[in-house]
Amino acid sequence: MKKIFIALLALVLMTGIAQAQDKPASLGFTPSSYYTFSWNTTFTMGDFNKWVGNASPAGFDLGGRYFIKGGLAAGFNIMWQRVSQSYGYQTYYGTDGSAITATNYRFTWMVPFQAVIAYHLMPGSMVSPYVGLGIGGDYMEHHLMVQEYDLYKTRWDFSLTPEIGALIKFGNYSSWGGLVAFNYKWTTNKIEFAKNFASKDLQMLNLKVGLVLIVR
Amino acid sequence: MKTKLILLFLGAGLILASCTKYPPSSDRLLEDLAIYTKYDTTVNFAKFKKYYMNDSIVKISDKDSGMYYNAQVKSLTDEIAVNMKNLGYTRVTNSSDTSIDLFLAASYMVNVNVNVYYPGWYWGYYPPYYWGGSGYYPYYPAYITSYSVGTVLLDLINVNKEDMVGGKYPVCWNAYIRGLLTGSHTTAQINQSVDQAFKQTKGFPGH
Repeated sequence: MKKIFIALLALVLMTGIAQAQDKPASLGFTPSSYYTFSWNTTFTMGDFNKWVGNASPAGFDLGGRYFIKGGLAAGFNIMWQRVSQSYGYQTYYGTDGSAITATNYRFTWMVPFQAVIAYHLMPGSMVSPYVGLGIGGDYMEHHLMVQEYDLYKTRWDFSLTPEIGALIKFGNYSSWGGLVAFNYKWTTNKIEFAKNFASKDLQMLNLKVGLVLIVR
Repeated sequence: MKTKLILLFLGAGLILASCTKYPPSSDRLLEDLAIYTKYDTTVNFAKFKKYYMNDSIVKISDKDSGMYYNAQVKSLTDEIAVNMKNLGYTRVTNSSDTSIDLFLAASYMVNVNVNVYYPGWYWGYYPPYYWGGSGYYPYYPAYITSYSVGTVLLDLINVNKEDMVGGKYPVCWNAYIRGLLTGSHTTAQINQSVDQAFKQTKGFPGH
C-alpha cells in the first residue's frame, strides 16, 4: 500500500516538475477549490496513549476545500485510521467469572468525518500556509484481542480538530501540489472494558503528508 | 481537470479499499501459552474442605485416549496440589471417600480441537466412573476454538450430593491452559501457568 502511495507521489511530482515554470513566488491562476489525499500518522495522547502507546502510520485522509471569499475556505475531511499495539502477558477479567491470561493485542479503528473551515494566509502563493478547524464525528471500534477472543466496543462521538498546514504547489501553472499539516484532535469517544481499562475522552496528534489537486 | 479529480478519487478509493480493519493475524495471534479460567460466581468456594485428584491425567487423542502419566504430568499434578492446599483444601487419596467435596479432573489434549459448548453440558473427557456420575456446567465455560495441541483442561466438580441438579454434579471451575504440554515448555513455565490459573480466579477463598 505504501509502495502504491509512493509511486503515485513520484508520478505526480514528476508531472509537476515538468509543468513547472520559473516563477516561484505566486500561482499563475486563482484557485477556486482543492482536493487533498494524504497519508496520516497518528500519535496518541493521554488515556488513548495508555491504551495504545505506539505511533501509527496506518491512516489516510481525503478532503476537499472550496474558497468562499479571499483566503477563507470550507469543505470536508473523511479519514481512515488505525492504531495498534501488542502487549505481553496480561490478564483480562470478564464480569462473569472469566479470566484470560495471554498476549494481548489492542487496536482502535477510526472513521472520522468532519466539516472543515480553513483560512489561507496567502492563497495565491506557491506556498500557502493555513489554519483550520474541523468539527464532526467519528465511528470508532476499540478491540481487545486476547488470542482468539476478540472483545470489542463500538462508539460514535463528537470531535474537534484544530489544524495548521501548508499547500506547496509544484509549479505556478501546475494543478498539483503537496500538503503538510499537523493537527490536534479531541473526541468525546471512550474506551471501556469492564474493570480492565477505562478512559475519559480521547486525544491524538496527527501528521498529514499528501497530494493536492488544485482546481482553477 | 475533471479527469484528474476522478483519478485522485479513484486512487484514493483504491488505497482506502486496501485498508483492512484488522491488523494481520501474524501480528496478533501468538501461538504460545494462554490461560483461560471461569468459575460459577454463585458458588461459595470457602465451604469446600476435601478434594480428590488422580495422579494420572486423561490423555485425549484421536488415536489412543486413556490415562497418562510421566514426569511432566507429575510436575503438573504436584503444582495443582500445592495450589489446592494454599486454598485450604485437603487432598484425599481414596476416591471412594464419601466426605469428598470436590473432584479435580485433569485432561490433556494431544491433537484434537475443542468445539464450542454450552451451559448444561459436560464436555469433559474424564471418565465418570472415576468420580461417580455425570456433570454439567451451570455457566458458559471457558473454551477455545482454535487448534489446541498440548492443552491442559482442569475441571473442578462439586460432588456433594446435596448440590446435584437433575442427577448431575455441577462443575464450579474450569481452566484451559493452551500449549502447556507440547514438550516445548520447561517445568518452571508449567508450574507458573498452573499458578496463574488459580491466581486469576477471583472466586477462590482468600482471593
